[in-house]
Amino acid sequence: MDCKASHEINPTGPNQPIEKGETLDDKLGNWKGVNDFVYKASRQAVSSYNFYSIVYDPMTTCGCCECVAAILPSCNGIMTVNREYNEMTPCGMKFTTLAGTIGGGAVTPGFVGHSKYNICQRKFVAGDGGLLRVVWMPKMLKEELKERFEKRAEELGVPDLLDRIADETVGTTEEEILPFLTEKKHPALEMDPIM
Amino acid sequence: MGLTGIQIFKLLPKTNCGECGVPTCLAFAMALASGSAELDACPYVSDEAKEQLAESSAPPVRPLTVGTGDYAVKVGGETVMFRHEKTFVNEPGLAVLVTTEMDDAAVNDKLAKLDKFQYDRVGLNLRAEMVAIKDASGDADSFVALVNKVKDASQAALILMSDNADALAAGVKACADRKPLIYAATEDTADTLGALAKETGCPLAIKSSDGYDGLVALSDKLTGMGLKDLVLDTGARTAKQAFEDHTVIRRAAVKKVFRPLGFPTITFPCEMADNLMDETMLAAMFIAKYAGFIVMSDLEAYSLFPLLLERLNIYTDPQRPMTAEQGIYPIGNPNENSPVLVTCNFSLTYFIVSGEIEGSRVPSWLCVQDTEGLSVLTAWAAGKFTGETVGTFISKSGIADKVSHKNIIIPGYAAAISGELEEELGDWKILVGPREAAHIPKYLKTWKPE
Ligand code: SF4
Repeated sequence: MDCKASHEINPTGPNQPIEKGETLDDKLGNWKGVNDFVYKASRQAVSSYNFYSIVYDPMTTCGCCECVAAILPSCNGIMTVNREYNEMTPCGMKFTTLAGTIGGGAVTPGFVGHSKYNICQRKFVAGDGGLLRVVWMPKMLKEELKERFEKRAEELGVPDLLDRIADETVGTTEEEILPFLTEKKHPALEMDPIM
Repeated sequence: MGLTGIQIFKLLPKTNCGECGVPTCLAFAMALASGSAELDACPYVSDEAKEQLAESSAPPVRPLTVGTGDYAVKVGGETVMFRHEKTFVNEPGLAVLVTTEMDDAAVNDKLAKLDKFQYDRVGLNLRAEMVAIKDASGDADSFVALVNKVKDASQAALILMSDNADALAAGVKACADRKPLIYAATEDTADTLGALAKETGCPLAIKSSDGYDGLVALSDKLTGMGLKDLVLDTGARTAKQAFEDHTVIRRAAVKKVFRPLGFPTITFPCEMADNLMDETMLAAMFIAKYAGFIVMSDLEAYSLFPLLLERLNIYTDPQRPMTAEQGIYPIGNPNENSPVLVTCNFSLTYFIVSGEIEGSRVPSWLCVQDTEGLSVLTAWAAGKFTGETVGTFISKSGIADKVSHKNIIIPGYAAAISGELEEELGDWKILVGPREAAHIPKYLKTWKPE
């Protein structure tokens, strides 16, 4: 809605309609029309963009996203951290550093900026395993999203997923949270390798 | 471009030992990918991984340091053509020139200016930080004497310039502990000076009379000798040519990862103009366009200050808001009856507000709350400048011990928080100040504690 209005007000502005065109990869969310547009708009810097992946050709952001997700290789999962959380995270970077890493048009495999609600949407990093990949998030974010999260977790058949996800009370390094994930039998540990 | 962070990560030990200075291998990989770290920082990379990474992980413009201690000047490390693509990383060093032709008084004068024209802004000390010492006659003794004189008088980073390799060697030996930049190896002196640079561990500038090809040949030759820290001078001494050269060099380094030109440059506005104004204009151009070191014939407040500000602005990371430190700032010797104002820590806000308070000549306490660099309205909208945050900050700040009244002035734009703040602070009276900083002086002049 907002984007449509913005486009109507300023047809050459930042919001542009894009035809998806031919589907190139439905798992990762790759469309020819999108790629063509991105290629042109980025002045040939970016040639492919996957809607649903954090590992392969992920989205860039302007840097003002609510959350940043990062992969946690030894946990075979991803973490996400919201802007309000100022402490260290298991990926070894704080939110501000992460935002600097992914923002401003940089395509940074392994990292993606997103909104809070996006986490509970069906397509959240669907190409990499979706919500079940999430192994760490700050407690405050867990609490904020609880209701939506649980609904989505139920759909996925893991109703207690939220409790199996670590937060800062468990640890802020991968070493600290891995035993917790193992004990809770976090589904990500059983999934295909994330990279 | 080189490998992505993830590709680099796969080659790292993945032990997250933290010895590289960041907590995880992934964070280190990201820093490598962005060119802001060097592989050597990790003691555990395997040789095989090293080889694979060396090529892609080294920043396209080699970072190097001239000078030591407080005055160490780090340049290079750049990864983009334009600041808006990401950020520029290391400010170019600004040097003032002294030569063996100058008399003592003239040399003292330049050194005194270097010392005097320093400015504290944004919590930073802005200054020119280098002295270029030039041997004008090829006489080793007088050169060494001048080097010693400058070395004793100033902590500044040094650039030693001579056409005579022997004199240069003598000068460098006199101050090798200060890690000077050696200027400059040419086709004729590459062997001697290359050996000197290697022996002393000092960075070496190279200058060719044969355009880019000559420079590349020299650079290849010296890298072949095992030198890593080189600085380029194409020899251009006109604005147009020097500008073109800088652009070509940066492009080759960043766009093509062409290693022979992947080094910082040195440029000499002092040899390109006959008055300080023109010289300063040229320096301004080179600050924006890719210079590593800029040598000026003279420094005056009117010429240096704009350059320092320009440099600060251009090299400030546009991806992060500038901030002032949270705390209580006394402005103009305030006492227990002085007004107390609170604002956010976006540095522009802080400077404008503190400037206006200063201008009002009403001694005041300015309390700056950490809003992560957001300005008042933005911080308020983002929930970082609310009754609760301001209340907690004020209660903990210790301002209550400094004043005998209980009045606090909040920014006009944050009027909405006054109710909540009142609840938080209990016995304090919340006064809504002006919306615009420009109206602060008028407001303060009529302010009385209640
Ligand atoms: S020093 Fe090497 S092994 Fe240790 S955390 Fe850094 S990159 Fe990983």
